Formats: sequence, C-alpha cells, structure tokens
Amino acid sequence: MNKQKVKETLLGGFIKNNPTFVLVLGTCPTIAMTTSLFQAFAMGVATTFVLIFSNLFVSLLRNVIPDKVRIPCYIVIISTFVIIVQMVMRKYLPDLYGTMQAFIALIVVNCIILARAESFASCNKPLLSMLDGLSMGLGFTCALSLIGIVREFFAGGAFAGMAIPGFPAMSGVGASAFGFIVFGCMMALFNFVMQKINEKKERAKRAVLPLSTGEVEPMEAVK
Amino acid sequence: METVIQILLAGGIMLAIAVVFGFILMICSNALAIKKDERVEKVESLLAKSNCGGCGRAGCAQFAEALVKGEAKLSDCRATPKANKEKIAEILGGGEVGEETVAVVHCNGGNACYNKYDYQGYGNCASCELIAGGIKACPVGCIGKKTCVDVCPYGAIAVEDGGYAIVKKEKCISCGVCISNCPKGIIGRIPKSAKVYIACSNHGKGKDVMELCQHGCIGCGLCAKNCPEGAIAMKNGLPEIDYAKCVGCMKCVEKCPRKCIKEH
Repeated sequence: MNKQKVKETLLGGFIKNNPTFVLVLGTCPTIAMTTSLFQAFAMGVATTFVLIFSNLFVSLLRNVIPDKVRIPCYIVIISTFVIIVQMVMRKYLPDLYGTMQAFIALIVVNCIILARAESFASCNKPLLSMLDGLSMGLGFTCALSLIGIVREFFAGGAFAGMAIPGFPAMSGVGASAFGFIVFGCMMALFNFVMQKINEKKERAKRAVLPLSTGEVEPMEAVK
Repeated sequence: METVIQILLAGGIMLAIAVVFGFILMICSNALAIKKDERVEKVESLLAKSNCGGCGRAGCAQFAEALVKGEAKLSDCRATPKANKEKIAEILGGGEVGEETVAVVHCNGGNACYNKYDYQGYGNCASCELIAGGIKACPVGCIGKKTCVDVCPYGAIAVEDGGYAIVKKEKCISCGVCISNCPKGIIGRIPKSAKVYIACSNHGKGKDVMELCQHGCIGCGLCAKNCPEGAIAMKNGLPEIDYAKCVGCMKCVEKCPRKCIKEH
C-alpha cells in the first residue's frame, strides 16, 4: 500500500467523493433521517459500521465470489451487518430504534454501500477497503449531521435537542420538501466552495509555470 | 455441461456465503438477545385478539405490553371474556376485571320519528348530521344512515325495518368504536347480563316528545311505579335501570305505553 493511495482513500469520502454532496447517493436516508441532529448522526454511524464491514468482507471474498452472482452475494453480506446493527440498536437504544426502525432496515439497499462494494471493495485490498468504508461513512455522517443541524435549527428552533431560547419553531419547515431545499442549497454551497478551492490550486499550479505568469486570464479579458 | 457446472458453482458459493453469514447472525442474535417479559406473551394469548382498538392501543399486543408494565387497566379492554380477564389478573397479580358489557342503541324511533326534511344526499349519519343536525325531528334520534354499521369491526350492528340501528348482542364485543362514532351519542354500554334496556335518550317533556316521535319516552314514570324490585328510577325525564336489582320480570316492558323499554 503506498502512502499516496491511503491518503487519497481516507480523504476521498469527505471531499472529492463525498457520498451525499458529490456522488449524491443515499438520498432516501438523507431526507428522511435529517430532521434532527441526533437522528442524522445515528443514521450516519449505523451506515458507517455497515460500510466498513461490508467493504472488508466483499474485499476478502472478491476472488471467491463469481462475477455473475456478485450482487446477491453482496446483499447477503450487507444484510448480515445491517441485522447486527439492528440487534445492537434494539438492545441498547430501544427508543431510537423505534423511530428509525424502517430506515435502518433500508440500509441493506442503500446505494452508497452497494456502490462502494461494487466499485471499490471488489477491486482493492481488504485494509484499503476498510479505510474507504470508514472515510465514506464518516463523510456521509458529517454531511447528514450538517443537514440535520440546519433542519433542526429551522424546524424546531433547537440545536441537538436543546431549544434555543427566543427562536421560533417553524414546524412546517420540518417537512421533507424543506429537507430537499436544504439538501440542495448545501450541495450547491459545498460544490461552490470546492470549485473555488480547486480553481485556486489550479492557479497556483499555473503560476509555477513560467509561460502563464503575468498573462491576463481569458475570462477577465472578455469582461 | 460447462454452463451447468458454472451455474452450480455460482449457486454453491452463494449458498456457502449465506450459510457462513447466517451462522454469524445466529451467534450475534444469541449474544444480543433481549429478555422479554414472559408474562406479555401469556397475557396476549388470553386477550380477545380482536385488535379493535377500543382500549386506545394499536392492538392487543401493545395492550398486553402496557398491561404488564402497569400502564393500562384490565378494564380498558371490553372485548376479552370475563373468565380470561380473571386469568390475566392472576398472572399480573391483581387488577380490576370490570363488568362484561355490550353496546346498545338508546333509541327506537327510526321510522316512528318524524323527519324534518327529505335527505337525498350521499353518505352516512355523520354527513347527514351536518345539515341542520340530521333529518330526525328528535335531537337524539337515530338517523339510521349506518355510520355505526360501517365502523363496527364485527358486523354486530344493523339498521333493520324499524329504521333505527340495533346491536346484536351475541356478536358485540363492546369495543366502543360505534359509541365514539355515533354523531348523536346515543349508543351506550349495558351489562351483558341485562334483560331490558331503555330505548330512548330524549329527556324532554311528554308533550314535546310526542310531537317528535311516536316511540319516544314521555317520562310518565309507569315503569318505575310498576317495577316490583324498585330497580327503575326516573331521572331528568328518563327512566334509569339499576341492573344490580333488575331480575328481568319484564313488567316494565309490558307497562310502558310507548314501548320504549325493550327486551335485550
């Protein structure tokens, strides 16, 4: 394993391949489970757990699983870990399990997990695949939590379950339609910032080249 | 032949993976098993299993859980037979069993009650009630448009030739869905063992009632006077039966000039 690849994998889930903002995978839990920070965070952690272990096992079995039946095999592996998550939650977080039950079960068909199994774990080594699962999962968790904070703030006038004094709750805003709007706005913001950063990098790179220094950029020229 | 081998191989590998992961799950489910209160299952098996919702819970399973936790009273469930309730009380170590009851419609007006207008619209009692309080002249007269018939989960209510609803007591489990849905609020509960019931809810004076309905109680008090057990008392213009005293002699049914005390 070379260092460059590890670094790329670790950071990929957060920025370059962020499952929510860039790849736009798993929008179902993104909308349904982000009405509060706590719920969003729990969903993210559950998904992360499933991602890490499904990636590990898919990667371990990548040479055993026949190509033609790989999807059913992945589903077997994924659903095993989803059921384990369900059991753990049912035992230790029964209240949360009550509200999230359906969506935890739906992690089985979460496209992030299948996508990572299909596109990463099935052609990479186990450790690297685990790292990818971790970074993807945490990226997903961060994105969900961010949306959760915004939605909880506007819909419930609260932060992490604690009411903010003097801030009115707009209950209608808690509906999933608003969730889409928040999701869209944050996606736009994320991509805007990333684009700016990339442009800066690009410019810095170009500045090193002697040819492009001092030249007027074509965009500005038009103006 | 090669294809067959390929198919078998693929299936075999999938099966092997499934078996291995199933085994993992088995171990996990043992390690993470939740200890369930054994009483819940026992209580649930003794409940009526009608899932009528009369207790305010989603179903009998939820009610059983609430019972064991002490959040619900046994008497909240009307559908369970008394013998079973006593067994449940034994399991739970006490608890009020409550009287076995059935629903009854306190009205026998129907066609005998005058109509205020001719209703030709769509719907049931609830929609009819919205127009000037229903078609019947009597404010507490059965409209007879079958809201209770529609909501009854057991088909225990029917609107018969008389034009008013009658509860069939052998089918009624006393869940109370009809009671909460009747727009007139004239369905109530009486003990299952009751022999007679009052089939009118109008507290008005004799003359007023006569103008509204041929079968309405005029509050004459003949039933109270003639009851050998003294089980009937006049209250606010309507007789009230004390079912603890009633022996079912049917004197009141005979004496009532308006025939609004009925055999149950």
